Amino acid sequence: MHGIKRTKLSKEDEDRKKQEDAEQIARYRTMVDECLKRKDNKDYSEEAFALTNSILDFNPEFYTIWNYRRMIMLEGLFPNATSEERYSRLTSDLRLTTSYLKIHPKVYWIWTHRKWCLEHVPSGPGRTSLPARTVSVEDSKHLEDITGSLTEGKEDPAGQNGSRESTINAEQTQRNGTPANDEENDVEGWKKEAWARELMLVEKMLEADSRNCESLPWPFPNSSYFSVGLVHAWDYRRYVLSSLPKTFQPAKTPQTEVRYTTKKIESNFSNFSAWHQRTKELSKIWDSMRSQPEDGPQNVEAEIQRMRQKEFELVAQALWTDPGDQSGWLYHRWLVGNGDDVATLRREIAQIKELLEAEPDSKCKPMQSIVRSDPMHTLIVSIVFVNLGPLESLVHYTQLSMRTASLSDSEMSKARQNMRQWLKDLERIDPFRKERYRELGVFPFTHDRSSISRLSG
Amino acid sequence: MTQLFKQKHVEYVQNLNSQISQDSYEYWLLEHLRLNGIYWGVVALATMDNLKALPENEVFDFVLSCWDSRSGGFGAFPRHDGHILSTLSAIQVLLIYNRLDDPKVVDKKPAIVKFIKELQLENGSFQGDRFGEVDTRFIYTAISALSILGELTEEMSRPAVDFILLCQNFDGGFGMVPGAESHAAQVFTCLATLAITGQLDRIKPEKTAAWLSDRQVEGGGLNGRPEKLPDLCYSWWVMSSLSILGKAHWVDFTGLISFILKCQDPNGGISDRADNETDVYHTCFALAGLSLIEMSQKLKEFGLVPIDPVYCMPTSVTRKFTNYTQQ
Ligand SMILES: [Zn+2]
Repeated sequence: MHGIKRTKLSKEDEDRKKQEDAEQIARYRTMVDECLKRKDNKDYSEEAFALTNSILDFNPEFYTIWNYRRMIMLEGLFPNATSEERYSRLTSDLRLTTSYLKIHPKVYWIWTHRKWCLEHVPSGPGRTSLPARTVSVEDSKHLEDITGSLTEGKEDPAGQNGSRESTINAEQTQRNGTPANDEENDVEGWKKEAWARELMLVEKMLEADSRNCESLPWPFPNSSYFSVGLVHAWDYRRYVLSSLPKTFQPAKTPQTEVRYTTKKIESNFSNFSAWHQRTKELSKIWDSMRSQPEDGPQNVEAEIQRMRQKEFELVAQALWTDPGDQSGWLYHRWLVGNGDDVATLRREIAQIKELLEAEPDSKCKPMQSIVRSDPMHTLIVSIVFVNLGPLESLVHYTQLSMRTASLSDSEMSKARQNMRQWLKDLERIDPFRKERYRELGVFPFTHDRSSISRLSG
Repeated sequence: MTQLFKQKHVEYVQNLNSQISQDSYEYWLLEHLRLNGIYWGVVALATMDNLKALPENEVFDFVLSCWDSRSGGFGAFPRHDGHILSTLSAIQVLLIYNRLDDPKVVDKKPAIVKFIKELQLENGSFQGDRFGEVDTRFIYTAISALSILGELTEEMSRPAVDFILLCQNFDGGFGMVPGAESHAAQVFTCLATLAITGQLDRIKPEKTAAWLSDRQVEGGGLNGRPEKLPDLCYSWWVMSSLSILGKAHWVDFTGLISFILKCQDPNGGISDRADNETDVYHTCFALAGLSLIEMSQKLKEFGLVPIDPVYCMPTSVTRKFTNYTQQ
């Protein structure tokens, strides 16, 4: 099992466990049997609904029971219910998933049900009949519970907890402070309310994330990849954002998302998830600028180039702060792209060389250990050589420049010579991947046949 | 540890379904994984060339008892709802035991195929069941199952491949839906789908392979994403992906083998990391991963059966139906 320590029971403990298990098994199997019988008989009653609850209490991974629960709602409980009743039933099922997630934050099927509930919130006049303020206070408590269980066993000073709560309350007040008459007949009222809560939840998940200085493997599969799937906080955030009702305020646009990633990146440069998200949002912005060039295609390209150069400035901060960090280099690789912008490519190559020369002595020394811990282990994930990222990027960009920058003969010969040296250095400081570096010397990434002969010449 | 405790692992798999196991409460709480568990157990045994360690007829009867006549797919346990994941497990187990042509299976085939086909959505992706979500692993599961059954058509695979390509990221990896971060297990499902459909030439293999080889970390183990802890099951997800790309040697075998062997329980079974609780899932993927290493090294250190990196079954089995372009 993922992350569960191997134990050996004593003979007595084993016997006691066997006795207890026998009773539990009998109780559990009787319940499951009755529930599946009702399911076969298409029993969509209130009692059947309650029975699914009791089974899920024991086993929230029982996907068939979750399916049955949804069928009971769709076929039995919803058809004759008012939309108020449906909303209230879904809200209480959201609470149910919250209480399960508190204990089993990684179980995929609970998340599936949670998403299903959110997606089935009916159209309705939200705040006029069910005051958001009341709901939100109660829900804040639930959110605290979930994120609390996330950070269990980790430092969480009381002061920080308090300040988090007040931020949430402030946000909530702000949201409730929009003009009342907009809300009176808002058909998307309930939906907005439900998704606003969800957005708050996921932002708290990401806050917990940065406090622990790693992107949480959350909620990651616990029994097996193929059975429980894979979600984590950023994935869930993307899901929530893509599900927001059209009139949701404050509106979430690629621009607001870029700002969000800036905030995350500035608080922690090695947040790969945030860099990844930034590539997605900037691509969206640039694509839409290109598809509707307001003041001519040339001006649009100039504006995109200006924005791109700003990105180089941002990532340079990360790279100079910690050249051993992979996240920044991956982003840098994306910014450089295929190297058609020769001027930028040459400039970046020069800067990386400068970065390497800044600390020549560190070339072959491990400069930074990345240590990760789970409840059971403290493991060193990797000992990163501070020059690994810069060297590897130099190799890659030099290969690009051999293809795009129409180098002079002397530049080409210098590049070849450098490449051989850098690849040799890479083999030495990163022996796990030595075969890859050896092949790089023979078959450059670019697939450019002419550069193969140049390099080996 | 420098030795593979093969006999102990065979016994471990044999005991999973024994009375002793059935007396434990946990056994029943894992009902929803039973058929998947049988598949992992059967592949583990097949990799150790010891398929006869399980009673074939009992396994066959159990698999058929998981068929859900309402949906047409297989559930994970008798009377459970059909799901794409357990359906693939059922088909794989039946194939490994060479029982797909049994009249009792042939009867059900049209319903099984219909179940899978109806899970495909307009955008080319597949959902796991009627309530299910979209995820590249369901695409792989569906495409793999249909290709084993000889029912994969161009009409289904073309949009599925287009969707897969939308899930590729700038780092060369693949995510679970468009926009999601790269993850090694997702890379496997996407590459294997491209391999089955003969579309591997639509990506740049070196970029993906470089990302995959970066998964090897201190201690020799592999992780699923940058800066995460190593976990034994990535010995399968990463090594199968690299093998599909013909770049298995881009990681260090000595380090990886040592990591895998340390995850063994000398009493049988293999866990995600040294000294953790063992389970059949990690036991299966450890052995299958070791087999891929052996194949790449052209060594027979552990005497394992060659495994097909695309289907996670012995190549002797997948040869029977393989119609995709081999690398
Ligand atoms: Zn694992």
